[in-house]
Amino acid sequence: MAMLAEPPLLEVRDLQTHVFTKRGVGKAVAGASFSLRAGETLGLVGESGSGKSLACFSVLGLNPKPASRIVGGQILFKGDDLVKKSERELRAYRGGRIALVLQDPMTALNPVFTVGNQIREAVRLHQKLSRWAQHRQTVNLLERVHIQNADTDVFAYPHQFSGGMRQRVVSAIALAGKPELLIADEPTTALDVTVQAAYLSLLKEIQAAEGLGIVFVTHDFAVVARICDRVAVMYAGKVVESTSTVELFRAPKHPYTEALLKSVIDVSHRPSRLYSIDGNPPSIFSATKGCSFAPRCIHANAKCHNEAPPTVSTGPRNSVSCWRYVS
Amino acid sequence: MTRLIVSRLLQAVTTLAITSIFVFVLARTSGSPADLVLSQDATPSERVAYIKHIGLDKPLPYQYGVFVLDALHGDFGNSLRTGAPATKLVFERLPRTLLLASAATVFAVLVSVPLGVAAALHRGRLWDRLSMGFALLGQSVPSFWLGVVLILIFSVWLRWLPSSGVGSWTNYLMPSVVLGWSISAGIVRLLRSSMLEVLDRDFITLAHAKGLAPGTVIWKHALRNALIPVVTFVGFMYGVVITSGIVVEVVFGWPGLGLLAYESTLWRDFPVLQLTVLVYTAIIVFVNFLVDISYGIIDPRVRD
Amino acid sequence: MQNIPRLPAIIVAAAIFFAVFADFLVPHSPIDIDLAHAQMPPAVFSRGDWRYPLGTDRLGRDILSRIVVGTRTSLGIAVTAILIGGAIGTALGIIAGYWDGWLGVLIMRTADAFLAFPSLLFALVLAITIGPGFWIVVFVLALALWARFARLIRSEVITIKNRDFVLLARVSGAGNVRIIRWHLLPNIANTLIVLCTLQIGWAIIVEASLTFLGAGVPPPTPTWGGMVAEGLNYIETAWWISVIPGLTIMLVVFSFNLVGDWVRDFLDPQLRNI
Repeated sequence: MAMLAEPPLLEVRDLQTHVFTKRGVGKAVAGASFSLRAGETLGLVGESGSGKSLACFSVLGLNPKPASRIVGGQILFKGDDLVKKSERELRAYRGGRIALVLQDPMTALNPVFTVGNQIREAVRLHQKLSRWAQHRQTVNLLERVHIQNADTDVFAYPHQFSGGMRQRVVSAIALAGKPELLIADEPTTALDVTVQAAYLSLLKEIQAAEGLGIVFVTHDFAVVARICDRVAVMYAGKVVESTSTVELFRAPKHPYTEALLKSVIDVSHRPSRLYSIDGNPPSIFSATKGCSFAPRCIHANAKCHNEAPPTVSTGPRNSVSCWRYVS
Repeated sequence: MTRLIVSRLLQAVTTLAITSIFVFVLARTSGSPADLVLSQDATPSERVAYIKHIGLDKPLPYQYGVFVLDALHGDFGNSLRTGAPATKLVFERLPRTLLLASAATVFAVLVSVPLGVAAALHRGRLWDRLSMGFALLGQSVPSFWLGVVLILIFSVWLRWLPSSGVGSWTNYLMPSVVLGWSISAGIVRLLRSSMLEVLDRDFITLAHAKGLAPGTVIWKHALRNALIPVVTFVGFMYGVVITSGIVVEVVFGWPGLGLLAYESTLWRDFPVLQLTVLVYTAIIVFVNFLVDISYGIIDPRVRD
Repeated sequence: MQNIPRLPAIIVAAAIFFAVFADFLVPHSPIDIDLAHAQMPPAVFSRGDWRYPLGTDRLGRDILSRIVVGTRTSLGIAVTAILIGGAIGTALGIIAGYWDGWLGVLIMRTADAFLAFPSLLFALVLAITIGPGFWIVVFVLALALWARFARLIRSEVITIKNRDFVLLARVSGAGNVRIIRWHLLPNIANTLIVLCTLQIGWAIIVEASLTFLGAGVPPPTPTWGGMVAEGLNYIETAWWISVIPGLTIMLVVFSFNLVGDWVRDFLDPQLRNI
């Protein structure tokens, strides 16, 4: 259904977010670009420290301050550049147009307020309804995320729920404002595998019903395969490859993506040795000359070490940042 | 839960018993009240008669036994100074001490909560330093001296406030401030670190992500969590406030239990002194007990 | 030694110095009565005299000299009480923490009882029954202090004794005494030092309060609390007699607290809960 001419819901261009610590300035997000359309799920993949979470927080202006700051790039949400917005203006986007779901369900809810209270707070903020209608809407949202006894559970406290149920409550809160974009930072990482599967189904179901765009941060390719339409691979603060999920698994282009896929064990072809990538990602505090993956890349040559590769297009919406694809 | 209550109750009773024995023994084994009550030229036989009269010639354990039995009947003896029942004196003065302690605690909380929040929000900057400085000063200033200085300034020089007694709300001002400032230090520090820890948690980020105003996130979501350890702290400190109040009562001539204790030590008024010490200990023990038990109300997680 | 708060550190050092060398430093005798020079204000005022920089009290005694000598009493009591109470509390805390069991529970319950006890009142009782004095105050302070030490040390010991290096020592056959001496003590040293420095200010204030009430060190020994009490009757005419000694208490305690905070941050910022 997505037409070529359809404008992106979210387009991040060359985003740079720096962190300020005693050790100095760290370029945690050093020029990341990715985009997605309404109704699409974009997977943001990378190791810890690749900057994927910080990039997501930056979209909503929720990067920790004053420890970090967006220093460059654009974040275009339906054409509006969020980087240029003031804190007050950004608040209008939060919840109502862009929503957030975090990784750890155990700490994502305020322990001293009931679940219903926290959902209703979001409802009250974004919809003009009477108190009774707010309550009904709260219960509806709980039912929407498949919480069984919504009528009674609405008065329960977070600690009375399991991890999977809490994550659903967090999602209910996210949906309360009827957002167009959902940013999910590894929401299934802390869940059991079966609970994970149920949650992913729920997300897909909601997306289909609402036409929601989802940015899904993860390091798990199984999850990517399950629900992402497109994938952006991040390394050392940059997006090194951006492509469709199908294409990613079929023919990964960036050496890092290749290596990542190789290190995921395929049960049907059990390798004799486990594969892992030699070396470590570069420190965000040091400036690197050339391609940031070069020190660990099996294909690297002198040019790779000296000059950072440009991002070249490899398809209608695909790109890769590697000298091998520069003609 | 009942086990907790029972064990705490036992502990309380034990503390009280040990306290009473201590004071009892001390009071009886030293100095004779006869010297203070009788005039200088009382004859030895008059002394002996007096001592017999108030029962000081019997062996100690016997005296203690009598004391406990009487106590269970609500009879704690009569004041050696005025002859009035000790219970009457003590319970007449007790409410005023509680009022002062409460006023001081209210003052401390009203001042310390905003300072603690400000210190956390402006960590490392001016308001943080000011708040912590204020708190530290409160711990460093001796309350008796502060009382004297305030009296000097506001009663003697400016004549704005009365220097002693109870009459109107103006009498409460200086004593409450002096007494309250000393515990505000603990509150500010605790709230600051508690707030910093809470602000770091995920649900705060999500509260912002909902689109809530920063004020709401801080004062509704963060503070409610940050206050949990503070409430128990204040609860436990209430007992400390009451005992620290003794000095303040003496300086301001506040007719409460502390002043009574001071006076009765000067007069060697054993019965009154004994009951006073017991009441103080009982209050502290009781307050601690309440705080322990009520933790469940404040933190829903503990309820189940 | 970065960030050490300079002025407070100087004050602390000065206080310790005066406490030790007081007798040699004072310009006047702190005890001799000299009614001719009674109630002179501090030198900055018109009736003052630079020979008596902080003024004199009702008996003509130089306030500065008395304050300097008073340092010895205040610090002496504080340090002694902390050493005694701290030693007892630490020992009991180690026992309670290491041999966690009925003994540990007993010790902790006793500590709780002592913490609930109104020590100020107790000091008053003692003062009136046995008589005020240096050792009475030390006794009362130590009684209140040991419980604090015991609780803190016990929880430290419990944390440490479950750490790997202690388990390793046990496995290699080390006996309890050895473990306590070589593994436990060095690791609680930091906590101990911090607790001690932070309690000095508290001890000085309590001692001053007791002396103020008449339950501390009796005259003619100059004590800060006593000086404040003596000056009360003259508060309207000669306010400096009470105000200056109290100001000294405040400055010294404030300095000790600041330095104590610095010591805590210097040794281990994780001890922020003390």
